[in-house]
Amino acid sequence: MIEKDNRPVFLNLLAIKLPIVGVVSILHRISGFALFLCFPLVVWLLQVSLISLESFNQLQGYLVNSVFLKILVVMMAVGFIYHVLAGLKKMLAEFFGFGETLKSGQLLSWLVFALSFTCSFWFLVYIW
Amino acid sequence: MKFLESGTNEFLIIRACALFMFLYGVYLIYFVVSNPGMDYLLWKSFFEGLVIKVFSTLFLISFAVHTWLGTWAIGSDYFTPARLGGFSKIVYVSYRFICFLIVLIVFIWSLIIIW
Repeated sequence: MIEKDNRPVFLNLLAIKLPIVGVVSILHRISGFALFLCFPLVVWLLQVSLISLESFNQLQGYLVNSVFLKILVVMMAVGFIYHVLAGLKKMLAEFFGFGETLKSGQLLSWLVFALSFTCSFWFLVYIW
Repeated sequence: MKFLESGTNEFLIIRACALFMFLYGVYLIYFVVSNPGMDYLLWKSFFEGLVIKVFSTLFLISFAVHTWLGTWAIGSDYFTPARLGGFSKIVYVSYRFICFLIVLIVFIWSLIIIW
């Protein structure tokens, strides 16, 4: 007997409550892609810092005085910190089997958020 | 290419590159943090050693491979015929082209800076 398929065709992402483990995963993907797009900026900063003494001092001055540059650098750092920690969590599960149960997965997810926040805050204080 | 058909190799390569970039990053952060009064001469001389040049180059290769495979994983999830219909092919190809350009620009530009 062929039943009529009543399943919804479109998934409404806003209607789905993503579990914490899923939030870690999708943020890992988003942060990774954002960092990929931002990386030319990192290369540019490296170039400016290495061209000459004047450009190095100018960049250092901007890093001290420009709130815009500070916010930009902090945002990229937050992205890097999170992407690295979430990536390490992923590898813990893949290679060592840590965080594969519901309980341990949720625990590790919160740990990733807590550590990201702590490291990001430390970086914020360091740069300011 | 047989080597990249299973998916297992991509899986391992993307993680090996990630680990290498992680170690490089830790080393770089250690250098900056352990030198509070950083000036131009110290910063410049740090990047002038042959060892760091080789490791920076390996970092760039890792970056290129990691992001090329990472953006492939993202693109092949979203830019599919099931989601975009007939436009999926042109969207996917354009997306890959832009990814390729970014990887290439970062790679060559950084290589010029390093060496």
